[in-house]
Amino acid sequence: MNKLETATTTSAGRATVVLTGTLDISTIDQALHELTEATAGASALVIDLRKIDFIDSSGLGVIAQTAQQASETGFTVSVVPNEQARRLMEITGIASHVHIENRDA
Amino acid sequence: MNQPTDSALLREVRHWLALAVVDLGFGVAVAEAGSERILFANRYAKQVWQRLAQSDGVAEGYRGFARDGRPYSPEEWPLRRALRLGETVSHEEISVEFASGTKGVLALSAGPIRNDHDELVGAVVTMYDLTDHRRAEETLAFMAEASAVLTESERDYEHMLRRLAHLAVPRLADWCAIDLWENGMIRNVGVAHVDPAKIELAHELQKRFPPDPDGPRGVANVLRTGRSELTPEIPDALIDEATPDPDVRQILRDLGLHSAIVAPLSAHGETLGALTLISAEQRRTYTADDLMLAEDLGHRAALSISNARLFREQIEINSALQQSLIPDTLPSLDGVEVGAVYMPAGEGSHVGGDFYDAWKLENGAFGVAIGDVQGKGPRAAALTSLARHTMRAAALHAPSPADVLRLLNDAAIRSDFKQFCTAIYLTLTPAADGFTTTVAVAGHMPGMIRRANGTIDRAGRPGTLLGMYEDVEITDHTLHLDPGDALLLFTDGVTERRDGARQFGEGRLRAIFSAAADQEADAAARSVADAVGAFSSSPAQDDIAILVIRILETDRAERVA
Repeated sequence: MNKLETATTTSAGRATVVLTGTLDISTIDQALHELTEATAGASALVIDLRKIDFIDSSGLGVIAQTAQQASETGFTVSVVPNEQARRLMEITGIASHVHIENRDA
Repeated sequence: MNQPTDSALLREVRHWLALAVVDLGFGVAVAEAGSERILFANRYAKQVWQRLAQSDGVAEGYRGFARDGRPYSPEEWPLRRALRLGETVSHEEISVEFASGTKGVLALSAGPIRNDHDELVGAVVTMYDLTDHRRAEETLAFMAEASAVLTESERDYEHMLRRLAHLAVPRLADWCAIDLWENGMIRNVGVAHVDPAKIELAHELQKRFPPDPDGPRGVANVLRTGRSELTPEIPDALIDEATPDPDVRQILRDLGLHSAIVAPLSAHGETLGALTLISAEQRRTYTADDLMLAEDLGHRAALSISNARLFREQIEINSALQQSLIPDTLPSLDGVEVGAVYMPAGEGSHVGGDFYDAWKLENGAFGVAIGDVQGKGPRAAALTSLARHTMRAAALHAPSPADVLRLLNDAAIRSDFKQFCTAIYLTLTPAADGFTTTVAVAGHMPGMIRRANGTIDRAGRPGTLLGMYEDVEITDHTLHLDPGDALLLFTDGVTERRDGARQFGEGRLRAIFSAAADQEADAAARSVADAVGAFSSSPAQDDIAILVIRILETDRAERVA
């Protein structure tokens, strides 16, 4: 029932992972796997959440955790949130720790 | 006159057939018109008849049924129709039941034999024994149904075993019993027989003659050795050996037991019980093939039992663990009423990550905490435990709730859990006409205050979640609570509860809490929980924790004090 689709594109060392669908406890592992794969061979990671239609705090938490771990190893990570993700990032305080890229939905 | 007589013709036919068809792979028999005597039967026909009729002579009292269950009258049998009417009958499948109880399925064809004057002098019948074919088909159908039963109801395995016993009757056996080996005792969990009166008899027998765990044969022996037993034919001597009690012997004889299999319910090298199949009325004689089937069935049933037991055990462990994370009862605190509801996601199959707590501080003040640890299971439980104990300890030394949460962040970052959590910690201090509350929020949804005049305020300013970043922004937010005010704290399982694409959301929560806040704290918390539960028919994906704190009217507060 809960489905997450992922699509990764890489150009000039910058990997962009577009997540589509649901990002919650049921799809965390899948998202984590995809994000880890995407960081291999790249020096920057963009996590695009604009096509997510449901995200909860555990889903966002894992994104933030990935971003945190990646930045500790010299990576640049940015998140492109949708409205729901942006609100959650503000509630959880993640907004002030993750680089947010604003793009039109 | 060179014409042979009728009987000479038949003799000739008989002689000729005897040579040609004696060893054919199907049955051939010739009967004489008038007397309807069988003049010749080849080897196959004789063997089939002997096996089914269990007699060398003419079988009496057998009955036949068409595939749709319609009975054959004596004159409808193919051979009789050929003998009496000269009819040619091609391949009729007949289920035959003998007075002895034996059943079989035969395919019969018949045709008339006429002399040169076209007079009906006899008939030939051919037969093919389909008993084993039909039985194999039924066995396949049975195994398919049994597999469905064994996989569908894995939690209530006793119910599953009873259904299995009923499924085996009458296709595999006239009797089917399933016994479990529990704490050194044999416990029967299912008996099936086509005739309910006989089940009563079996229960009666069980009561008067409980199975002896040290018995040399049968269920006891199979449980002890883990090896199956096949008794193709049950002689009276075996019954005598089984019990010294003459009454019991008589009952066992009256049951007409014919053939038996006892197979262990074994999985992972352990024998959990035994499956008994008994043929009585049908007089089916069990073979090595039947034994293999029973052993396979026993193994599959044991796997289901073993899974169900593991599942049960896990639920028990989880609920014990969960209890250690959520206080059994909240302390009674002067001047306020505290109510709480906790609903773990799933049916106790994992430990959730939500927690809450309330405890007394100095000078009539007290601390209240609610939180949500990312993930589930033992790691989440460990961080939950750390969070509760750290907050309680920190609260003794740090008067600022924000400081308490910062200390918890330090502890969580330095722990090996690599999990994060969100939390609210607040203090309530008695003040003139009500309480002063100081609220600190870390990555959590702020609390909701329903004022006595009906307005809704937020309790707490957004702050950073815990266990992820070294530096966190967490601030204290101080408010006054008047008598009649009610404070709601909740975890995201409440607002994020979904029904398809719809989400429960903060707006709905605000409306429901507004309407419920005048109830007693426990009832108010329950009202919110009920609304969240009713929002969707699908099971909750996330845990739900709800805490309601009501400031009592001063006179009532004094009475409580």
